[in-house]
Amino acid sequence: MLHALPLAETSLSGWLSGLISGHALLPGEAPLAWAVVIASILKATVIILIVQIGMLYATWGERKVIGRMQDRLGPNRVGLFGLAQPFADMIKMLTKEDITPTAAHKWVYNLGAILVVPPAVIGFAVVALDRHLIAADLSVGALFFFAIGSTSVMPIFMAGWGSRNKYALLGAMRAVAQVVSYEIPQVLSIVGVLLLAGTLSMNGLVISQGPLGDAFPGVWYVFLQPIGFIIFLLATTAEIERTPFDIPEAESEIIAGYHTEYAGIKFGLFYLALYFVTISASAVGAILFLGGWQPPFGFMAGLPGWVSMTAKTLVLVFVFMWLRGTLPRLRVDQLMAFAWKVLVPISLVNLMVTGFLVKLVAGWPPLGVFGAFAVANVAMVLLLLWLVAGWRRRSGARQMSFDRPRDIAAGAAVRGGAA
Amino acid sequence: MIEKVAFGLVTAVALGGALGVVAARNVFVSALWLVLSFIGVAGLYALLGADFLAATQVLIYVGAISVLILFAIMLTSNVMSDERANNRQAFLAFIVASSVVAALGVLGYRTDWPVTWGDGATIVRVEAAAAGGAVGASAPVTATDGAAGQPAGNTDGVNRDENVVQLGTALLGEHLLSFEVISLVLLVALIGAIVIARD
Amino acid sequence: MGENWAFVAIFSIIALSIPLLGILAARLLAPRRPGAIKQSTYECGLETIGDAWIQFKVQYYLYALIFVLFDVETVFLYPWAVAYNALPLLALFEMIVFLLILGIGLVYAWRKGALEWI
Repeated sequence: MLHALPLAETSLSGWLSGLISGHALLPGEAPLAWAVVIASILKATVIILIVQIGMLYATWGERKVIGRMQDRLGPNRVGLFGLAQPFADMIKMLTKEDITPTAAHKWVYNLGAILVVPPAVIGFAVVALDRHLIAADLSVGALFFFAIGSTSVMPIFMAGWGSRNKYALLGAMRAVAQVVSYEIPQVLSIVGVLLLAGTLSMNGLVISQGPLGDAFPGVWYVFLQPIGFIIFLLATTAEIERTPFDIPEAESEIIAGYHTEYAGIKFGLFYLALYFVTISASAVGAILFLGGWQPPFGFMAGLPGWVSMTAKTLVLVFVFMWLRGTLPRLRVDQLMAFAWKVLVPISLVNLMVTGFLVKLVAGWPPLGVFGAFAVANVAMVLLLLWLVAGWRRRSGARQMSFDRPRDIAAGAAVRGGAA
Repeated sequence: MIEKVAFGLVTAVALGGALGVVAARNVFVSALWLVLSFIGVAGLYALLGADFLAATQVLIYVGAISVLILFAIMLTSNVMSDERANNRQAFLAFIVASSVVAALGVLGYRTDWPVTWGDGATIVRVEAAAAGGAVGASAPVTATDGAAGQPAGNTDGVNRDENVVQLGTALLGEHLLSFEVISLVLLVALIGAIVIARD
Repeated sequence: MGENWAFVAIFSIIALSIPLLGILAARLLAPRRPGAIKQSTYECGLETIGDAWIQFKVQYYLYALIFVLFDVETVFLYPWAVAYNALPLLALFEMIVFLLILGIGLVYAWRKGALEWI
């Protein structure tokens, strides 16, 4: 069904307008405009259905992956390999009693749960699954995605305040402070990509990483912008409040954060939104850094774009699950310091260096371009390590807000990366 | 027709949100209505074809300014109670607000706006798409001049609206001084806020 | 372009209908047996003391303010980045000046402790 869509999609408006005007259902010049509306409804429904199924199985996949990492089996009772588990969960959510606390501000409380879903879903409107399987190829697609993502703080605030519960409000305040803090490195980290691509359109970004790219053809931006990619990944993990950045819902500190008071389906909506944003953030990461629907190797040119895109998205979804299964939760002060004192300065330096390199390497052969970016990125990592070492020496090793075991792990990761 | 309906809807959202701001009893709820109004304004920008401005309106106003407003409300004491947010100055405020609305209305009515209804770009574009499939999807990508790697025009089926590029060129060319002054204004705002908050 | 935004609008409406349908379905399926204890505010079983709508510290406001400033900055960075290929090398230095001025702000906030989470 997916494969048939690209064909249908390009001519859907035209076909519908012919149909409507042929049957004279609507008068005058209206048919074309109505065709757009009907085609949009069809497209939107199909995309949301695909995404919804993806979301349901992301919950299953996450429980399987984390289970295996913790030497458990994960869900395996409901259906083959537990594949019917998401539907069992859905039925459970729907049949559980839905409680509204007496203290709550009824409207804000209920609206918070309802509005938490749309920001997570609307982002998919600009995600390019394939060259023609993109709902709305806005000229400002990437910016639109981050703009919609930034609105997710409003329902969080409404949920926390509307619950009129100390833990919920505290969780909401923490969540909003965290989300806005990490939004800055997130949007800054992709400026390097924009400098290379020269467009904000999702399709344009993908094409510029393919063989027909304008400036630096055939190279995924993850190879030219490795630091940008890592910052994007970390900031996105915090932005969508996944472990190790899930302090707003740290159950050991503030019960469940802003959704403490929600039960039944309303709690389910928060859960739903989390998996929607996990998928959409992975999809956008794949578009920006991993070449989107372009096949990974030249000899795979026959592969349909949506296969590559789905595979890349799933890889990133797995990375998010992996992080959750591996890392412990940070402390709230560490978290805030990490955004402003580490990620923001690095991304600012990265974008200035990238700007310089883009002008420098214009007209160079691909290998030279790649080499220049590799040298610059390694240099930046070394500079960062030198700065951190000096900082630690001056302030005493334990004074830094990073604990020892984490430091050792971080050092090992960097050594592994440089080798 | 569709454009008029859409215009009516987004205007209703913007005005309804604004009405909610003044009608709500609780100042936190007022702020939430204001967010709705911001969204309506973003819709207006989108209708005008200002894609970048619409996305920016959502990013800055819905995602940032409203957070600032809500945090400001959260740090004031006593304001979270359900008391009515009106006071003796309500009538005065009403007079000021209505005269501003009247002045803007007169100004808007007298200005000769270069706007045409009905033959909007949407319909033309859809006709072109219906006639030729994806516009020029099969056409080869034109070679670019070696030095700069300019966007290759609208030959590859990508929405390369030049709005953003024009904006960037204008900001760093013609309006460079104002552009650099913006950063100074932002710096002053930051320092001022820190100084006030720490006292 | 117009049809893109029309699509976004319709997509938003359908996205909004997902939670509404869910809640509607729960209305029909879920039991409803309200009770005073059940609907009391949950604070790990303790009686609640005082109102949750309290005054928060100014730190949150400072964070939000720094965030707004940097958010505005990124909005200016995006057109610059997209138009970069069409701009002369001078544009890089113009942007570096812009970033350095804001960088002073970040360093100031850092030194004054506005970035510390108390």
